[in-house]
Amino acid sequence: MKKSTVCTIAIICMLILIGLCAFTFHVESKNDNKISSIRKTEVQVTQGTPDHEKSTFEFTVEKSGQYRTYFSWAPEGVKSKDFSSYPSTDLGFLTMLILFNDKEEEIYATCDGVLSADPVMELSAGNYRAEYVYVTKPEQFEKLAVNYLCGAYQAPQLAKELAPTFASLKTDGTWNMQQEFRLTSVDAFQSGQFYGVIFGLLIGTCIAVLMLAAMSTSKKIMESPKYDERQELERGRGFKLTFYVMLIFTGITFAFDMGGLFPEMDYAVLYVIGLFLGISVHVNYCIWHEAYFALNQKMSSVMAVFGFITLFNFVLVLFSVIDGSLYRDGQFGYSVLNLFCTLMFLSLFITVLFKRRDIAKKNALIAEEDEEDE
Amino acid sequence: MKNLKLKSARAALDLSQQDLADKVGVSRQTINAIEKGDYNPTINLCRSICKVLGKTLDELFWEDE
Repeated sequence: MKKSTVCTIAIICMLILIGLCAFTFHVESKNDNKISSIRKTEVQVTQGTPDHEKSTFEFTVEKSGQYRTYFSWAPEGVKSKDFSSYPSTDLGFLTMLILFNDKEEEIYATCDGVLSADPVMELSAGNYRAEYVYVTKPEQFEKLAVNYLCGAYQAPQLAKELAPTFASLKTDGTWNMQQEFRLTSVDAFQSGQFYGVIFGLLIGTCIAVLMLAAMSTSKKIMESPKYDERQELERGRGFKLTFYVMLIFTGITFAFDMGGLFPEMDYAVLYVIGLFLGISVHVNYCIWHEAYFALNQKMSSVMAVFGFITLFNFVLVLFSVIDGSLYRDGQFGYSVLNLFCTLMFLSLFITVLFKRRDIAKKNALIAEEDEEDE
Repeated sequence: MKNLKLKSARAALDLSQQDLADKVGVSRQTINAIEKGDYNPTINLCRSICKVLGKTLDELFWEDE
């Protein structure tokens, strides 16, 4: 491909990207289904009891649909991503989210949220009132249970678990707290996600095109890897094996899903894990059967790349373990993919390592045999 | 079944497996697999090997009774 052609394609991609961005912002400004409120309050604590027992937010939903609500109550300056690292009794109380419609009917209640809660619920058009209640004493749980503000099972269970460590606000004095309330239309969020995917694809395409343009100047890089006929045959066998492995993986996943035993993770995560499994099987098979490296390709550079990717992903896994995003709210997060990526590249690295030793041994044996023949 | 004819023809020309592989345009492992009898080469590869070693197909790849 001519360099000028590649550059033209890159410019067209960029123009499409700019046009799409403009369109996305236009759509978002029209579909402004987002309500947001941040309040800063001072909480006076006297003898372990805060003077602030609940906050009320009133809002209007103009269009029926699924909405994600988000409430938080945390010391000023604490970011929501750090909430998970706080023990549930650290602030001295639990929070309850209760949602009332305009007929004063309670339509939603949860005491799952400690510092924050972000349930998704179906809301019809109308006025709503949200109450964020701070439960400061264990006895209040029973009252909440009587009023059906939290589950009959949930309240006494929580009270039983937390009562011994229920600290109330630890220090008397003034606390600067920040309350946050957000209401986001899930439909708008999903369309945002869709444009995000398109945006990402376009950026990826542009980068790929630019890289191709840069690479087209180097003949050496543009040459496709050359495999001999035995290697092609082994690679074909590798693809066949991978096909059966993927078939079995899909079958098992389907069976587990039908049986209600789906792993605690998003479908998208599972698909990518399946992809990693397929790649691992194919590449490991090809490396072991000496069909991964093209003719005259050096193993050491590929090994270095595998090692780097393993380490890089391992560091990301460590970070996700530290900030708790690997496993949160009873579900594996997207960072579990880094874990599987680490395992995949580690397996490839080890296979290359063993294959190198194997080849060195075989070479020594062949040299010995050749000498004997002479 | 080991292909000893190929091995001896290669040795007669003082070629290593790597040398033969480079001349034929395949990997060293492929030549090794052919000599060990682990891989049956295509007719094209057999012809290339014969040309490099100055032998006929019968001389290198035809099994004796």
